[in-house]
Amino acid sequence: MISKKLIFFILLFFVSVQAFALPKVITTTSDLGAIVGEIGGNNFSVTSICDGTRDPHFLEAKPSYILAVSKADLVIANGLGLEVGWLPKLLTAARNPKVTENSSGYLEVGSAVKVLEIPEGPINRSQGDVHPEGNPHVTLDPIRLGEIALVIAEKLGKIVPKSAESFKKNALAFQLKLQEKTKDWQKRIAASGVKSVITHHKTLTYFFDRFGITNAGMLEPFPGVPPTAKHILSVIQNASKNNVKMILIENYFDSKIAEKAASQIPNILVASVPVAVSSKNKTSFDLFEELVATIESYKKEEKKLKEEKKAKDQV
Amino acid sequence: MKRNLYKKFFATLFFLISSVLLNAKTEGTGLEMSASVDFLATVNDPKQETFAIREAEVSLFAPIDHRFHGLLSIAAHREDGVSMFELHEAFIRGDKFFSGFSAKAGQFFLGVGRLNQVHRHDWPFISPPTVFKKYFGNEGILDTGLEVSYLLPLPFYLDITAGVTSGWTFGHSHDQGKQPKIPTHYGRLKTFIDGGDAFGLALGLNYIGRHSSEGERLHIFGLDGVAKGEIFGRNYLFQTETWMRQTIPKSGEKNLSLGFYLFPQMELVKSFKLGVLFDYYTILSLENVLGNKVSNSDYAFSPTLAYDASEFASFKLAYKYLRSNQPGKVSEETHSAEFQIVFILGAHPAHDF
Repeated sequence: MISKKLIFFILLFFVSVQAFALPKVITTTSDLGAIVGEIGGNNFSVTSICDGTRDPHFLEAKPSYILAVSKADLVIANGLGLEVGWLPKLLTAARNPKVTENSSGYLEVGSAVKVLEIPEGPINRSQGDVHPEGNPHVTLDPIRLGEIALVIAEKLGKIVPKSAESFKKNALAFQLKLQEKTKDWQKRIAASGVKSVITHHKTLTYFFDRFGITNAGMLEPFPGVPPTAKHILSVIQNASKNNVKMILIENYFDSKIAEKAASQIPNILVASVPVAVSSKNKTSFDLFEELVATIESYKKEEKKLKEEKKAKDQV
Repeated sequence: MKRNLYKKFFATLFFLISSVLLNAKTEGTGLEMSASVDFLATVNDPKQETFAIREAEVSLFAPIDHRFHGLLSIAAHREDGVSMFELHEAFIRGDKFFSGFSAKAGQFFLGVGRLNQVHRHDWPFISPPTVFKKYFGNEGILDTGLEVSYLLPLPFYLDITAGVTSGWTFGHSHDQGKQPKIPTHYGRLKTFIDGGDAFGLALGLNYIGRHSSEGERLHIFGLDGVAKGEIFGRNYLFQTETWMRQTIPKSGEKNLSLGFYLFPQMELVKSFKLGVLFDYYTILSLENVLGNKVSNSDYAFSPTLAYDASEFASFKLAYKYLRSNQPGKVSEETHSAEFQIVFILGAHPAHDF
């Protein structure tokens, strides 16, 4: 008799937990997770697989991620090949029919915006880790991020239809705020005098495109291939010739090579920068603010760099 | 003679079909092809050739329809100086029946242990540990049957796998075998402990059983573990498997043996990794004429340096020390070196943790 009651209460507990649980949204990157948080409020339980301090191209398909995907009601991915090395494995191993590719619980946002650097002509692995669909780092442009927010809001509205209007309103407000902030960021970057930057990988393409900065070179000889001495030498020559002001290293890459290269280039500043929302930069606004502030810092450092060079030349 | 002709015919047919499929309009079918080549050079190893293709494998995989996907792979590998073609895997798999459940039918590597589920060219070391070779052959156990797997709806990761295969042969074999009294049956429980970036540990508990046509009962129990993570910004791997085998003949004494291997590996600098394989094997039931237990062991020690040029090309260099202590014999020692080149053409699916 007691055991029957116990079983009944255990079952009741599990059913209640399921009934009152929030819909689970898994995002592949923390940028997408932050958008869901902004527009979905407390209506969803959000988990981001890549936390903003790791390279989203190369992630281990850990069983704990498989477990999270197996319980998801919606999976939001960046797409454009960014997660091709690990997301298909997670989706297959999770065996969750709700969130398989092409199901209603799966959303890829990258192709919803205008994509840059779509390769022309045949591509193969001799060109490195080239994404056939174009550069996938779309969330690093605040304007495109606003467009992505609208796409996500529409999908969230299908999961919780009664709040669809509220999600749309929140997404529009988020987009408007990003548009306004972008004007300010554009002014500040223009005033910094930084027009040409070197990076480790082509991560900041969309950010540079929005703010009128040229990506003068990459430390990687080919996408996804670690720097080589020969290539670094050509980067140094190119940077000296083209008056490159900064080397921005995505925070999940080692900046030692950049610092070594910078010692051979006059008046150049090396900075490690975040390229995704993380525990330090909790929102997309914080992230862009830090990127803009880092570029702005060149102006302050310029005088110091020139003095250092003068002292070096005298020696 | 007939068998070789059949294998050659089968291989030719497979390559013809592959090339036709790839040349044909496959757009929209999701058909992908991958080829892996595994070269092996050995110095001072009496059992292997000096420099040869150990294995070349071609795989085709694609969704079959909205519910199933399939895989077909064929491998050519050197055995006693001859290239043997054989069907490696050919199965249909479905994972859209209900949440967490999947089933596959056909010929496949059994879903037990760690090495048995990873193709040889993807192993972190070059040659199989002694216990693996003795129980499962050089590559692992392949068989035809049905395997189901279920990720239990729990707050933690627990995946249960069970399978039944024909069991006409066991381990690596090129003949038809004989109908067993009880076919090969197996089960596995896998769990995972996530310690963030620094630590992740996957643990598996395994059982394999079979009663041969002669009535010999086979029981194999295994425990496997894989830990990966990052220490001081460098990736590390620790892989281990322990297996115990009991064979009970219809008449006569039962045989009990045990073996394990340990493989710690650390990233030295980007793309370079150094690991050490230590493996041990002993027959626990070995007795002398007086019925007393007799100590015996085979153990090996193999430091391995790996260079991964990319995800698709790797080079490994290993020194191997083997020592065999058998009763009534002088201990045998072997020193050898191995060099391996592996490259992959085409698509290659992501690996398990």
